[in-house]
Amino acid sequence: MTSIDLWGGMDALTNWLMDDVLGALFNWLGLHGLADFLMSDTLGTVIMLLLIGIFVFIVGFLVDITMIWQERKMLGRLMDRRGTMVGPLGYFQNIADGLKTFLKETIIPENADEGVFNLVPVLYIGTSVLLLGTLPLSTQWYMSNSELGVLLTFAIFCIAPFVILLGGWASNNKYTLIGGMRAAAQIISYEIPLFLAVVSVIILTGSMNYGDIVAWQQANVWLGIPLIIGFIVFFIGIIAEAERVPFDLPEAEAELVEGWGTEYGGFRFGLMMLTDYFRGYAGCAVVVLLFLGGWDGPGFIPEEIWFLLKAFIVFAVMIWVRGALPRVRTDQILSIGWKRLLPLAAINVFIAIALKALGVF
Amino acid sequence: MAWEILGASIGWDEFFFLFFAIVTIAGAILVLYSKEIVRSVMWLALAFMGVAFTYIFLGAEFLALIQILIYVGAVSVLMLFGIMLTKRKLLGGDRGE
Repeated sequence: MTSIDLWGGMDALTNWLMDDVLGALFNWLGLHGLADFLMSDTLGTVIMLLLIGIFVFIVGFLVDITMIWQERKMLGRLMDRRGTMVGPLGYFQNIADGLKTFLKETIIPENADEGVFNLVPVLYIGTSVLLLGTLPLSTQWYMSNSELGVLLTFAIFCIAPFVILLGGWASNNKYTLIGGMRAAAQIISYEIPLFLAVVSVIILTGSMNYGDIVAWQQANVWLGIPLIIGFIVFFIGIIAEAERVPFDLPEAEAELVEGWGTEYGGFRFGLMMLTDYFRGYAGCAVVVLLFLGGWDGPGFIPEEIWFLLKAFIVFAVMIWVRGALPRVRTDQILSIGWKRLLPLAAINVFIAIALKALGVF
Repeated sequence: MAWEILGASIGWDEFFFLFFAIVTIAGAILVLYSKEIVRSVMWLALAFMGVAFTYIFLGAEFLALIQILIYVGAVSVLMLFGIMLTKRKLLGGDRGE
């Protein structure tokens, strides 16, 4: 198994940058006090953490851009058209769209609650990008390796519906308010089956750390096989969590203009579109980590590439679902969540307990 | 690094504990003094967040994450849901319906 040593590499890069380049430069200039400060261990640690954060963000951002391109291209094929065409295989269309949204005027509605209206994009984008820091790509490529990693991811994931409801209210528009209310109705229907599916994983592996969960799957079997029911429930739940078709009720562009984000224009709109795919990537990554063996795979490809490959395949299934299924109604998502997914998730938890009690794993 | 404030030694731990304690209490006070009831719920979520960070300083990370998951993620949403279902106007005061 090969993987990229992020922390060791960044440590070496920090030492080279602070000691051999900047420290040597300021020593040469005669500024010895400044050079000593730059070469101190405390500052080195801070710089190293910042560099790790930047690298994790850059990789997440590139994956995010690629997922947008994948969705537009593949959805185009599913709809019997070509999709984006700018640049090689249409990859540069996203950059063109990003530049376009950057040039638009920022408009705040006259009767909106301005403070909350401006705060909502910050919270929505911030909490979604924060998700990248909780997801390990391999045994050595991670930002946080907490003992409670799974719980951390979902604690950050579940702030967004509250923010969406707040944003829908602050815009002072009926469409946005309906979108926000739908987000609230949606969260109370899918979250419990979703967490029950996670609980079955925690019961079998006995840990909430992603590294331990993947190590267990490498030693035994991918959890998607014994817990196939939980895998399906979790996949449906995570589509709802990422607010993608058929569970994109808060956005519902055919019924509610743009749902809760109708009043957000210009670059905020662009960033929120980008953020939706950050959440989509985080959802796919959690599916891969919990049920599809994480970075498990034959050793001739690095672990990170295996992980991203699986995430892209899961996202391709999500695009397929989007191309195939119509949007559900608000009452339908409640009945799906409470009458279908919840009993299935409970059965799945019983299967997990039985497997553990009978000593199969 | 530590500072002497009013005879007490304040290190980084105490400094951040005091910071989050002040955030929590300020959030709780603003819940009472907001004119707009939805803004009250927003400040309440801030107070919940402050309590969660206080738990982290007490060494109870699990409780902190559960606090965010349940209170910020679920209880605040339910409160907003309830308020918006019972309130006739979208925004109060002189703003239009």
